[in-house]
Amino acid sequence: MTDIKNIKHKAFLYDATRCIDCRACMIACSVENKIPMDKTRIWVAGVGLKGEYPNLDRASMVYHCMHCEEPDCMSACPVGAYSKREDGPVLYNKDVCIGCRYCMNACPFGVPHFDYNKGLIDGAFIDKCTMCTQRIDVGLEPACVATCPTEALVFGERADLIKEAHARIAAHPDRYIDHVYGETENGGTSYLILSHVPFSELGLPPLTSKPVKEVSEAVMGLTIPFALTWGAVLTGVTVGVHEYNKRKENAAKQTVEAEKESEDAK
Amino acid sequence: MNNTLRTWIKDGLWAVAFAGLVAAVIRFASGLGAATGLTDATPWGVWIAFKLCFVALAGGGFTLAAVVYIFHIESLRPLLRRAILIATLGYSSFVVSLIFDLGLPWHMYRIVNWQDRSVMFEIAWCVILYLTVLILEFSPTVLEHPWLQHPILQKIAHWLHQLTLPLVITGIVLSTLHQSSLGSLFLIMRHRVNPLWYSPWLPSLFFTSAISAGMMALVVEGFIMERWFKRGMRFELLTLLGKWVPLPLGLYLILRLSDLFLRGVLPGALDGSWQSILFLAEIFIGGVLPLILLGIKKVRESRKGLLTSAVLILAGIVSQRMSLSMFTMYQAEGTHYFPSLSETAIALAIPAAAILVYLFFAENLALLGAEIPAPTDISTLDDPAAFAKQDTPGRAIFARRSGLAIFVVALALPLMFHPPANCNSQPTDPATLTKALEILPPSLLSSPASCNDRAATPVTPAKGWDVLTINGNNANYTVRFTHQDHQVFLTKELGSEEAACQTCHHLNKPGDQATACSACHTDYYQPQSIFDHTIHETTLGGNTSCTKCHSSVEHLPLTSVICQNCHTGMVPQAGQTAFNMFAPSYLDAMHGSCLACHIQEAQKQNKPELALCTTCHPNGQSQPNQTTANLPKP
Repeated sequence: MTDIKNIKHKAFLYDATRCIDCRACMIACSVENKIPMDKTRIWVAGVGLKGEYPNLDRASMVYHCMHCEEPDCMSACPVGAYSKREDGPVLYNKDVCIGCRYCMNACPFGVPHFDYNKGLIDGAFIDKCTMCTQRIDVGLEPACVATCPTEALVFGERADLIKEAHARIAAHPDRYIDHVYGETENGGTSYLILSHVPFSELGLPPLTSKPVKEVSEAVMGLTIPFALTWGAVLTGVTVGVHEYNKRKENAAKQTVEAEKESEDAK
Repeated sequence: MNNTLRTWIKDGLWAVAFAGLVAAVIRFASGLGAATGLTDATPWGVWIAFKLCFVALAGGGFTLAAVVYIFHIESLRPLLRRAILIATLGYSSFVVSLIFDLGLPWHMYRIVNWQDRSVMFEIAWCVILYLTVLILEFSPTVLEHPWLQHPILQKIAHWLHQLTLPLVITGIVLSTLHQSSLGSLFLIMRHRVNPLWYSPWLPSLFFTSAISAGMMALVVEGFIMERWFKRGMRFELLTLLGKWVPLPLGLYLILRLSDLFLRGVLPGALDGSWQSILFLAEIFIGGVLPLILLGIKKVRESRKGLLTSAVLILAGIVSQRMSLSMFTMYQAEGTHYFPSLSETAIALAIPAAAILVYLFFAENLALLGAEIPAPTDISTLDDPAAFAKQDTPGRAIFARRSGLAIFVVALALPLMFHPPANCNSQPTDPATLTKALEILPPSLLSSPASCNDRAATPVTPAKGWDVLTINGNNANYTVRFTHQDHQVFLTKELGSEEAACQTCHHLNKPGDQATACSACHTDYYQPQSIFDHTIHETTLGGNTSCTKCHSSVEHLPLTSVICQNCHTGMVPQAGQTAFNMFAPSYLDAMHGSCLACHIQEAQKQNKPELALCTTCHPNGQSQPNQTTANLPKP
């Protein structure tokens, strides 16, 4: 295995069939990042028990930031508080944030968490998974991965993990749904998911390979050309109507004068 | 309307504004959590919905400016000043509620970072610039006041007058961008917006509907001000607005419906859900009906007909804004948003204050008087010159309002102020972790509904599981792991829950992995001390720490102080040594997690073979012949 520091495109692979819902990842994340348990950056959604004894089935889903290849939060942020690091993590800078919470609305996975209980002085910030940059930069796996007792969460090069995911599906086609969530969803994510129950049951939104931000960015691209054209059109109309009115007035005056003249001539 | 009624209405507006002031203090002192019903699942609420409405109602400013200055339709000029004042107040309200809504409003200067992909960035800049333009457009009216006749001020007024045309064109461009970008705001939120309100054409929908709303706001305002000031409003001008509003409104409806139809969403409007009924009401009662009414000349030119249509149109557009951004917004199962009292108070106080400011300007400036010389059919007209003096004399009214303020504050404070719920006020310190890990049965683990918990998906906080089935190496040999027993045992022995958690989940030290079972259950047959020398050494200061425990240079358990010297909560059991933290042998641990249940079931079901060694260890093998293959599927 290559050194984690040298992985060019870091990613997670989560295998729902392996998860035993122990939630050690949540504790590890809290301890590592020194955040209270109720503000944990990981949360686990469970499908709960399904079926009847003895044919029982359950599935749980460990969520944290998907570290999208095309982050919608980053596109939404008006002040550039988000950045996508080249090796994978999507990072948030609280020194820049204005607290508008647009990123929370833009994120299709509902990842950014806002601290609603800070007043004016202590400041209310967004909090989200950082892919444990402090750990991966010294060659360690993120805390959630390191603590996972069943290797439900693994960490590595994105391309390798996609290969690994497809290999697992090929090895046990009966056990998995034949799809790697996050390979193309929302333009690809750095958090890949394998599951034995439909992804919608795990609470994952159905997304196309086009990122959510695409439409709004297309519209935003038109802003400046539109503003310039619109300004020019308005100026043109102002001048045009003014000229037209003037000519009309002049014409009216001329007719009046002409009539006068003709009357005078009579 | 007589003076008493006017004073009472103003008192009401002041009361709302005072209540908002109380709520504002709460919001800034204790944060959004204490003041609002916002959560992670619904980060935006009534403030955003109201903001969209303020800006829609302000649409008259740029519409009238375009009509008068761009198209030179001079007949509507008498409405211009009012339109610009309404727009200024609408945009000011937007900015004020933004300050409440932002988590870190003092970071607002960061908007200088160029982020041309962000709709919010465009909105911020357009609001700042357009509000400036509006203030500049309106200031000549202010500078007409007799108190402001200083030569320098008059020079400024003259310059501003010269700048009118460029200002107007900039203003129209900015507000076009802003109105439409408020629609674009929801493009990236498609997964949250109800399909009946979503459209890729939202920017155009917002723009056309803002023109309609702005025009109709002027009509309604005209009627109200007529009653308020008992002065004629040049009804024919309002009729003119009513005559032309079907143009933007019709365009809005056609765009909206045809887009929904072409994308195949329109059938969803007939599914009978409350959203579909709201949608149909919005389209037909707030759109098509007034369109038809205004198309009839007789209705348009009657006072009642015009007012009714205007109110319906406004209701339709306000409903579109509010539904899109609040009512029909997707909410995850188990979550709901309802604005809190103080949130509502702030939302209402802003327009109340704006109306008071409007009245102040209307009473003191030539907003209505100078340009409206001809009274219409209203029979009860005051002396036109008396419009400035509407209230009772100053000192009496000041005393009255002060009393009102004290009353409202005394009433609102206990109603609005709730100390934040326990789970909300936890500081980030190790004690928090301990508190969060309270040992409770899993059924009690869901947090109280008042907490702004992560609510996008149903979540149980990690507070320690009861029993886990660990398929450790994925070899299909499962182990029952009694998590809670471990937690209780370690907490008792180590004296703190935090230490208990970190014994196994000790990822705060780089390089550590989660602890394997074998780390403590080291011996197969004998109980083992789980005293961890390395941890003690590191915690106490490395190589210099030996003498803290060992009385002589010889590093033996015998030369050490007893554990209770530091771990005061530790009580050695009878017959145990100082190093009394024992983990059962591996065998006992494994047996312990299976045997109790086997013996119990053997008696209960009267099947003694269940508790026999050979049931699990056939052929005398040491590894139990139990795999997930022959167990019920986990």
